[in-house]
Amino acid sequence: MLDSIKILQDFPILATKPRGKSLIYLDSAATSQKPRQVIEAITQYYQQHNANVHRGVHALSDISTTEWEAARQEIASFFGARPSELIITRNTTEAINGVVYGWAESALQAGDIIVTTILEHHANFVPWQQLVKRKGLELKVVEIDEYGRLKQDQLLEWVADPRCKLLALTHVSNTLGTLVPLETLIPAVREANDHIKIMVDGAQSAPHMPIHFASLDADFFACSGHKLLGPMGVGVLLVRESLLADNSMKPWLFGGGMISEVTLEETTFHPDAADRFTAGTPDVASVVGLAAACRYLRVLGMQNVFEHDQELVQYALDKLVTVPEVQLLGPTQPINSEQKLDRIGSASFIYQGVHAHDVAQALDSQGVAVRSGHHCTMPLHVTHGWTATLRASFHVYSTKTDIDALIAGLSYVRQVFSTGTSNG
Amino acid sequence: MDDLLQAHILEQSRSPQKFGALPTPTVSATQNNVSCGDVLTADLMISEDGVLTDLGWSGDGCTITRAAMSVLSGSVCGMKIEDILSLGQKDVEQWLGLTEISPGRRRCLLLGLMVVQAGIRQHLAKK
Repeated sequence: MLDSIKILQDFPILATKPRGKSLIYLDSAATSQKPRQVIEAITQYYQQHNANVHRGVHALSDISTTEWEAARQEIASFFGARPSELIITRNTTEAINGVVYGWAESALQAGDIIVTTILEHHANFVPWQQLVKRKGLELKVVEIDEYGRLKQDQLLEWVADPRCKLLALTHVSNTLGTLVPLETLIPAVREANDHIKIMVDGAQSAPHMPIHFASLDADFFACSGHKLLGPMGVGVLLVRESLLADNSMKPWLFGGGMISEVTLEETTFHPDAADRFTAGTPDVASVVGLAAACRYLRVLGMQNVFEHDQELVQYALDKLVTVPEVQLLGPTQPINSEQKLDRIGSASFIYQGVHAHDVAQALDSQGVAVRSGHHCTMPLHVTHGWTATLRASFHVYSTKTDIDALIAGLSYVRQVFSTGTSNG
Repeated sequence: MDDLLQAHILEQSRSPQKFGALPTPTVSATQNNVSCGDVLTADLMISEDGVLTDLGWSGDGCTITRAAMSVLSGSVCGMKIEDILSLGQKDVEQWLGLTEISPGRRRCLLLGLMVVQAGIRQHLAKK
């Protein structure tokens, strides 16, 4: 159980009034807010520890290097991975592109098949689509059922094809909130195809549930620091150690810091993966900030964070279903009475008769911040005939009171668009 | 901060000017809003001497998109197409009675102007 009152005090931005009204922030799936512990860690780094890493022998460079290495250790440990399996990127998108350029460009050949899903964010779709065009591969997109759940039979049939070399799929849909059951799906995929590689987009799962990379049995796992209470500009790519050891996963950025020896004719690369994949000066302060976020979440306990999220998701669905104009999207009921609801982080919906941007605008005038649009899932939207949808998303600082404010805000939407009058 | 849901904006959106396709346009153009997928199509009638003589539009969008397209449609007929190409955000804001659109709604405000200007550029490229 999270202590909401104590947590709220850690997030200074939640006391601000950007529209002159108390901020009800329900857009955490786009980016989370940052606790003062993270803000202070970044400030402290720049005020007391700033120097380039692995570059000098002076005291400050040593302090900075120690901070960097400790932060990498903390982040890797948070995800149940070894520090040697952690590649720091700018965000999930860069992490996935890293798999494209570092692994897939050389590992996949014309005629190979990539299986992905209609749930994917553009970040885990466009890079593969473009690779397929460049290299003459085939891309297969797994469909969903009416509740936003993957058609697992279709997925397993497609990955069983020996030409299928990669399954690239999300852990949690950023649009529908669907939790893909990787703990059962990945073993089934491995059973169907023993040479397939599996790339998991964890951008929307990592902020809300425990992730243990070693147990997950994925080859690649990507997520963004800024969605899990960390700063913008730092992301995580976890790579199975064997792929780094046998050089299947190669560096895709070249320059200083990542080399072992450079001559006029040739370059050999750093033997340690942590260095081999860190070309140029890294954003040390942001990595220190992300480590502080991981510490913050570790103290709260990721199982508690998960349970808090589940309580809010269920509460939001229960409240939204009472609004006559609302059409809920994604899973709203467990698959059966023995299972829990397979939905994380958000409640998404269409407000019948009013464009999503207009609903979001009217909610904003009441201080309620939600996301409207296609959420970077245009194929999903077009396939289902949705122009734009709405999403209320949560994090550790979100409360049931926030959801009550959303529901009250939807009454205001009805007032504006049925009578044509607003009161700002 | 402007109130984007003022009564006159809602009214323009509900009863827009020049809504509906033209039967035999000189040129048609379609543009989409990358933030939400809204799509507008504009049919333009352009005279030999480069004047926009009529305009009809179709498609769906949010209140701001529809209201902006409506006031734009009511303002540009009779203008020289070169002059329409030089219109910008400030002009649409003025027609809609706004001081300055918020960054998040800029694309909604400008989708109509973009589609009309795209049609004019297509027309000029064909000549």
